[in-house]
Amino acid sequence: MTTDVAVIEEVFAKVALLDRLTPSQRRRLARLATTRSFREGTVIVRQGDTSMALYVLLSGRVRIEKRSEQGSTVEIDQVGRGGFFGEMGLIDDVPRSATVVALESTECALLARWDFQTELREDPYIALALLPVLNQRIRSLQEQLASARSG
Amino acid sequence: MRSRGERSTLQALLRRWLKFSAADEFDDATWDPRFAQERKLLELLERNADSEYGREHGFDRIRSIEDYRASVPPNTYETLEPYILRMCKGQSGVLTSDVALMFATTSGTTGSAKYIPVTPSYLEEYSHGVHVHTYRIFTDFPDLLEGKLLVPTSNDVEGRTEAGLPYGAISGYLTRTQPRPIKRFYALPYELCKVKDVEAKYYLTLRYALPEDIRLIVMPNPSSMTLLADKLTAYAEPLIHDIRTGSVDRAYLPEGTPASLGRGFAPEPRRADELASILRSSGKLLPSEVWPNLRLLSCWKGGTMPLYLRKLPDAYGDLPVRDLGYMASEGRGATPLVNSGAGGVLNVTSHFFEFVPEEQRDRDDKEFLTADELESNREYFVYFTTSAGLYRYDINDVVRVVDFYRNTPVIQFVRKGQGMTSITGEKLTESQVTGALLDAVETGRFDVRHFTACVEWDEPPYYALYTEVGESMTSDLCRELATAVDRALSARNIEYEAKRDSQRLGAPVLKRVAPGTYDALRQKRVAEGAPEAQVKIPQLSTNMEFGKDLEVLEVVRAG
Repeated sequence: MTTDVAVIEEVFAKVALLDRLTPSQRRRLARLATTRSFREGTVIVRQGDTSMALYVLLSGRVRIEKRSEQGSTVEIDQVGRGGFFGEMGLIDDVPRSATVVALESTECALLARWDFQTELREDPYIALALLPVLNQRIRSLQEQLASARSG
Repeated sequence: MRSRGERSTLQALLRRWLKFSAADEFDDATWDPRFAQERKLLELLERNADSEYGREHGFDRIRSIEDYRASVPPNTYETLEPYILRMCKGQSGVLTSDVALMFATTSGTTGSAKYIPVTPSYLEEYSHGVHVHTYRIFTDFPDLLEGKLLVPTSNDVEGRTEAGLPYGAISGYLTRTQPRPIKRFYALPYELCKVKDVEAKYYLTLRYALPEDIRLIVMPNPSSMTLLADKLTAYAEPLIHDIRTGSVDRAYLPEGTPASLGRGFAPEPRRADELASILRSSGKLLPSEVWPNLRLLSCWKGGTMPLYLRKLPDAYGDLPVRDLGYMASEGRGATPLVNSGAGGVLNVTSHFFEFVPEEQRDRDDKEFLTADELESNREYFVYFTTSAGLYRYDINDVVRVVDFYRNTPVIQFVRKGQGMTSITGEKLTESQVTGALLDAVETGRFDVRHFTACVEWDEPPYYALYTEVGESMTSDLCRELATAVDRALSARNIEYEAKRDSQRLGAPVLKRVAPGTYDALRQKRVAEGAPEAQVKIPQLSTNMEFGKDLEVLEVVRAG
């Protein structure tokens, strides 16, 4: 793969988890990313599987779908260039929460959890920049929980 | 007893050694798996160029992966067996240039055991994967070595070949040869692997582990972890008594037990009181309560294991469970770096691997791929090349690519190849089932029309024997048939016998199906589009729901 680090860095700036990092922090992470192409119809990751990396779309389009406990599959989103999935896996060690299928020929940048966390250890300011995003996630979950309880 | 200072110095040294001896090399190699794999292959071929197999296949002229494929055909155990049998007889320089230290035994596809040569360089390759795994676990759980590790192992000397070389389990060998300072981190002594009696083995395991601050438990099969938890409650009273008095109940020291296992315990009344208090308050001893600092469980999570994994929280709470990695006596395929799922990163610095897309396995023009050529979510058969003298060796395993770590695939064991089941590691083949059935039928006592064995889930799981029989077959005869098949399977497959003896596999259950059932099954396949001449209802089904829609008239258990 020959995708420019600058392109990956530009797309990383659109990832909610990474958008508060400084350009130099994002550049360091972009240098640690690898790229991979997927043919149309390929299952890129599968719900329940081992989660090792954040995927950021450099080109193409994917469908994100979730299997319910009853066994039916529901499409929850479609994302294109600049979209991403698996971002929480950079912090939490949990299996993939959804299946992602390439709707067309798609290229992704992959950032491994280990490399991200190594950067975190070396530059704790990255962790500080992540806190507002994580807080927002907690608030959103609390609201969902409250809504479910009242409904 | 070591001081806290000595212990932490030792921990720091161990971490640094694991990092610099294995983990860093592995980590660097994952950026460019093709380069790492070709380098590994050429290093391995150069070392074995002077072996008989190396000379026959021109190892000294091989300069690339393409050269290797042109010079060496894919192998199975059967194609390498003539060489291995000569190594068992003590001949050197046959498959490898270095000598075999022992043979790792595993169940073979044709009935007799397989013997995998364990050479010094193979041990190095094998240990490399262990060290990467251990380093990552210690990094993620930094206080593990503040307590002890509970890692039962198997006997490395089950017997000896004609030449006097031992055969048995690699795990026992690695435990026996650990440096003394490292042994102190483990709760169990090496000698425990010599205990054959299952009840005694579990009792002694708990006798050694209960007084300790256990932080990590490693057992390949999660069903063994559940069994360990069950035995903890079953033996609670005698264990507490023994801990209080510094003794070992003689009932659990059967004849032949190494003498050292009954000695050296000091009375620990305070620990006995703690355990007695837990037993009084909850009516049982749970691992999560007796070892409150337990941080992690490590066991197989792929293949059929999720059936057992569901049971672990009952005894162990919500502890993280990390896969043990895709591995066998023949080699270590992958190392998990996280707890989620059952995938591990391909061990690109341990052995050389090739992959064949699952659907191409039986084709003459099948495509062999290297690590860098694998695609996400596809299933592949794996071929190992290792310093054990296994060259392009078809291990008959199917793996799936579940993710990528940098440029290296993350793979997960899915199942054994066609015609084989292995719910507890028994690796039962259709030919073994057919052979066992024939052994029974040839006695002339049983009128069997159709027969299919398949694993069914229970505690423990068992083989269901779906059988269409003649009218002369009474219930007693059906029971006799199930018992005869059980015995014949034990005779044909050492792993099956071991799993039955250790209660990890239950006695088989014969399920008598209605007359005409198999004809109906055949017709259904034809209706689904299968050519009639090619329809074959297997005698060993890998589908655990094989019998779901069949009309069962009677159920009898062997024994």
